[in-house]
Amino acid sequence: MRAGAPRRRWPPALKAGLAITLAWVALALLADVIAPFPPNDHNMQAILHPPGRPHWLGTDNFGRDVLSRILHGARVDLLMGVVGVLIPFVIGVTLGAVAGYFGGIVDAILMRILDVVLAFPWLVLLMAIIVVLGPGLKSFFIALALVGWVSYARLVRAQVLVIRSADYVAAGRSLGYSTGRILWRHVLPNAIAPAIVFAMSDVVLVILAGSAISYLGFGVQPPTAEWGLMISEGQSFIFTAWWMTTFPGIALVLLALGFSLLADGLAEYLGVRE
Amino acid sequence: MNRYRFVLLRPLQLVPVLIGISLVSFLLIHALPGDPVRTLVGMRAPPDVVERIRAYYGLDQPVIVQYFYFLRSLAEGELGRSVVYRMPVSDLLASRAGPTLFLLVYATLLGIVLTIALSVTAARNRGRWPDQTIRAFSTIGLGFPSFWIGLMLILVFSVRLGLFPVSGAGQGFVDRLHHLFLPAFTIALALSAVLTRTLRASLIEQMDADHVTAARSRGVGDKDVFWRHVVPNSLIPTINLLGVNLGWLISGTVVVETVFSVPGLGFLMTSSIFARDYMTVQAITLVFALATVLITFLVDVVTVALDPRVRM
Amino acid sequence: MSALLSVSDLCIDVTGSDGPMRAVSDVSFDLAEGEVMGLVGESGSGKTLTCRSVLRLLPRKVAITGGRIELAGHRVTEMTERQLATVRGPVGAMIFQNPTAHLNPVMTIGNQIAEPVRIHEGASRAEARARARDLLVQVGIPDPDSRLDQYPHEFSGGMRQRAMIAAALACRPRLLIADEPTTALDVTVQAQILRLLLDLRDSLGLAIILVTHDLAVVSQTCEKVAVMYAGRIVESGPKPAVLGRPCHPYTEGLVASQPGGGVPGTLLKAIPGQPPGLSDRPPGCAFAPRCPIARSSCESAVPPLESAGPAHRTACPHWSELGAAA
Repeated sequence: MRAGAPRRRWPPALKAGLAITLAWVALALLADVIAPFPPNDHNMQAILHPPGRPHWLGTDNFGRDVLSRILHGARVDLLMGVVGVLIPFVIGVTLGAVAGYFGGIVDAILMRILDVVLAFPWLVLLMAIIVVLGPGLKSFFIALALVGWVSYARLVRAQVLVIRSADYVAAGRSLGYSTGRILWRHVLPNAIAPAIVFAMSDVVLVILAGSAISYLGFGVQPPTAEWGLMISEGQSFIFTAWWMTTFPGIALVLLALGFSLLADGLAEYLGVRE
Repeated sequence: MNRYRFVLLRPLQLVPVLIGISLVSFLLIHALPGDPVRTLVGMRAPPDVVERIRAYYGLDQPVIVQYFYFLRSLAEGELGRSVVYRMPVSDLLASRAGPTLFLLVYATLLGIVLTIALSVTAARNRGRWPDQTIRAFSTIGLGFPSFWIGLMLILVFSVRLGLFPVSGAGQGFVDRLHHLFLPAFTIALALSAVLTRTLRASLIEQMDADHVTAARSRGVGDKDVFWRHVVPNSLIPTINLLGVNLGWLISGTVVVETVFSVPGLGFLMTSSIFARDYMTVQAITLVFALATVLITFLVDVVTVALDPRVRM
Repeated sequence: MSALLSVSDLCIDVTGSDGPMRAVSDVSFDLAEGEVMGLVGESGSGKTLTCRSVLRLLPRKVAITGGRIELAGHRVTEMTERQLATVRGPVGAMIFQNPTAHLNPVMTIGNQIAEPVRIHEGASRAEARARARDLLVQVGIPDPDSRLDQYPHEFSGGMRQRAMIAAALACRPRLLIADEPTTALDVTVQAQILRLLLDLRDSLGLAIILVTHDLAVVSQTCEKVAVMYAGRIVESGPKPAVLGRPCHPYTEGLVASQPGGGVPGTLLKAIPGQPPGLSDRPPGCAFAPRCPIARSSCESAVPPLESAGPAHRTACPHWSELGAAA
């Protein structure tokens, strides 16, 4: 990746991505108000009700309203994506900046750990760690904290290596600035752009991983409304109630699209090339 | 450093990674709460078996010594016993590796064909509707949940059209191609979304490259320019990306095998997690990591072989 | 002698974000068999677009919007891409400024030279390879047998330019367009490449358009010169006349700013100001804002080319004042 001069105008992808993402955030926040039914209310009169009035996206095998569950599920899936990226982001950026700036033995050790973590297929390692910690959202976040930081560390370290020899850093040193100040005020702001862009596409990966792990049964547990879990619950009824699997998947694709566009748009806006 | 020395020296760089992989796999079992022997052999194992396992893995020794016992067992090809299948894990894995390998190769080939078809169509129609459509596909496709795509394909091609079986791996080559088409296509769809972005971009970059203008100045026609000059120069970054995405590909296989009940390593892993068959989970994690490292290394070698410019 | 190449009233537009802009206006010139013409100008003057349009090798968003180009009887401006492919190579060929970027990095030098031979003459692999070997010898690359199987990165800059010349000459063209062929090379190598081009002209009867911003190169090699400024030819004619007695203030400025042209011990003269950009070309003579002898009439209309001697043309109506000043 290469950082260049920022462009002024907002690229269309950035606008579209922001619009989709903010729409989802609004839907998630307002789920209590706009969802036509409570997400976990069983209704034995309307089991496997096909899409139509009053269940616009149909009901599941407990008579729960699919639309309402999707709206409430948006909270969980957004939370997975945001928290699941924020923790690795903070850890990775910090370690990458420190390793890149100081180099030496710290850097060498960090790079070896990085190689090892990257050697494992990502989802497989996440699942293996969740096996140790036990299923659930908390385990998912811990596993991500252990595994997800490597990409950020690698991106930031590469940038810092370049920036640390730049003139303005030398100028800062010659002015007697403290190391912490140079790193925090001068190096990091210039090194972080690729990490921010990657974070947006990482949200997509994390949401897909989280929903896949929930689908497999090791993530979010019933009866919580979560899209991957809803798809898994619908799988047994795929022959009779296609809407149970179809709509939560469309929701996933649309949420992911928002962040993918955000990543593309930000890359263009910040002049970061992948 | 010339190419031959690269091929010889690169494996040496793998050594620390391999040590790290073994350490992580070791920790996976030893970080589990409770008595590791019980983790390994299950709760109902007779006392003499428990004692034998404890001695074999050195579980009464300090942790660092236990790690060397673990390494020794790995070197002997001893991956433990599956408490669920009541057989050596190595035998279990060997019996399940076939469908996974088949699926991986099948999906990769389908993905490559799809990627080339889409990227070439997009690049040759730059800016017009086929290009726009394909670009939209490759952006949306980044967010395809493979398990859901698999179910949708089942819904359309198996339930509605009855073209493909819903599950299983099939017997014999042709039957297997038929059985594994939907799982492979599921993975290929996601893979081609990722690769098409790169290949399209580098095709378009190459179409404007100076050496392409120079070839045209000598009367090389559109078709020849495209296939002989543009495409070879665009493939190298794509092959690199394919190598980088291998871990992601294997992750996808684990999920898709479970969706389609393909009797491979991925399905074995998820079912073993449910059954708390820790030795099997550990062994599969280890095997997947080793496979990733090995294949990434091979991709590196292929890239070097293809690119005459690489001279370290 | 009838003209091998005849360009008349050529206009080229570049499409930017604000719509099309005229980059080259009303350019006309002729070139005979075996003749070497220098096309001189600063970057942005339109010399590269002009020479590329001879083989219709313009980049995207750049188009010929007027005029005619006729090359050895082929009406280049009216041909389809498929027809053009039959002209490029056997009739006209081109070499470029940066040989590193203009050679395919993943194809052997031998294959790049042999490729046009196989395409245009349907030669077999062995025949094409034999021709490529002969060409390497002809352009002065030693040890051709092992060089054929090497890749561009294994060649030095000068050798790459020689290889590109070999590829351009593979189908024995009658016209070679050389777009700043020596700019990216070391000074010593520059002279060798120019020498090679002249030798090839002598042995093959090749006509050459040499595009350059370097008057020294022109004075060493060319028989005629056309000077471009802001998309127009402002002066053209035989080299001795144009460089020895410039009849346009821009040419005069160029000559005066050459090292070795002035009196030893005096400062080199520079032309004040900058050439206008594509979007802010003035309505009259584009050089007027920088011209020492400009008057108000220069800024109202584009001056037509007028004769200043045998085959010598200038776009300055006040050219007679220049000789007087010198």
